[in-house]
Amino acid sequence: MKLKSPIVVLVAGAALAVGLIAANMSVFDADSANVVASVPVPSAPITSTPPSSSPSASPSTSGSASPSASSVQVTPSVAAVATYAGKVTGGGSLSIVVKATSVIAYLCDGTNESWLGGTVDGSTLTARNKAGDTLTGTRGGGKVVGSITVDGTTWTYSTPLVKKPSGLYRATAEIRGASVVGGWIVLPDGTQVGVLRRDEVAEPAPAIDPANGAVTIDGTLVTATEPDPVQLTAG
Amino acid sequence: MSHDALPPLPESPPNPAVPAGPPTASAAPSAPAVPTGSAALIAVLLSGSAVAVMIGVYGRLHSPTGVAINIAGFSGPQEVKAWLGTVAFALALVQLVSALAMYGKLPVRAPAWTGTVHRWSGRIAFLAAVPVAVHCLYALGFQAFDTRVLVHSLVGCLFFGAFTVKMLALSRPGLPGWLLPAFGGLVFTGLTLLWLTSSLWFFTTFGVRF
Repeated sequence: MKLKSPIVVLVAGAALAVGLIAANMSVFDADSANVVASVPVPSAPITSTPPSSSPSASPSTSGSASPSASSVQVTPSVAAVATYAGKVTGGGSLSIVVKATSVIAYLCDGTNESWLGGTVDGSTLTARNKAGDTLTGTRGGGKVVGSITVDGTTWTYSTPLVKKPSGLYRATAEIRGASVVGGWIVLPDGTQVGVLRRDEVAEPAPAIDPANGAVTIDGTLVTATEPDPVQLTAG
Repeated sequence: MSHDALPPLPESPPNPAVPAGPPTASAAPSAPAVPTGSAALIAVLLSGSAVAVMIGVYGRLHSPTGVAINIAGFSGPQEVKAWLGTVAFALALVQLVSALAMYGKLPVRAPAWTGTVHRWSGRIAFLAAVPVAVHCLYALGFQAFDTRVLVHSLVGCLFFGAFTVKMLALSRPGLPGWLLPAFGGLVFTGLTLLWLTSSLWFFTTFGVRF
């Protein structure tokens, strides 16, 4: 009896799906050398970017001829900076930036937000803030896995390494006498969330242009950049 | 080339005359008409449900990587997905029109090749949708952080389940006549919702780009 073609179509589709997932896994899941792990990996520093001489992690691409938010832009960061971003389980977006032994983490769902600062010890991340929020995590295998507690609620997360324009953005400014702090997380799928705090009053932030971090707040053009954990946690 | 038969025309509407139904307590005269292929029907529906649940569970349990292999020629995986999804949706419109023609719901007489068009546009649409779904599941996962994303995640699981039911139903004789149009409609509705909540959203949010 000849094969029935609808079944063939189903099987072909399933085979294609399995093949694609296998291809993805062979590329990404085995890629544990992506991050400085505690295991002495032969080499392969983070994202294998050669150490650049510009220590500033500013994503300013003002001179760039391609304003499109292509996901293959050159990472402006030095090799020692790793940016992770993703969703926490059942909640908002979380981005973690690690530089040297300093960590900055930002949880945001578009309405509520929390900034945390901390340190890395080996592969273990810990961060906290004055409000009592805490974050713990373990980095390795191209991601940070752990849990974060904000305002008494705990979420788990598994945030992968991301590249510009995905990642964490922060802007601080004095606008019309108000002290404004904005935070944004841009995920690899292009979604972004952000919260703006005017004199400690939070509200959803206008969207930034992921290509250059530009955002207009109260009529003033502000540029959001990836925060430097070393500077931000020093204070 | 193989020819699967045209979808059985609804010549036998869900049989009204139940000959000698089981003599169990028939409180109402409209006791559930047990179609002859009820076991087949249940098996087919269960298979589709299993596919939908499997996809959803995988999407929820597999921790999203955020990245996946890309296809050359596009600036990023989102662009690839948006366009593959658009191709699938355009073919789904072909599906709708050719199905209506086959069922005699259009004022024009369906040409003989309508069935071939229906089959091949469906196959291509399905194969275009699979890489999109793989990227969704592998890189992004089942998410619920806003309405668009939740609807997209749910309908994505539903779509492949409904498609499985429809494909299995095509190859099983003796199923009720409403099954194919119902699930064909469900597949079309699902794909439309998927397109609206992803490709259209992407194009209106980021602009039409490759």
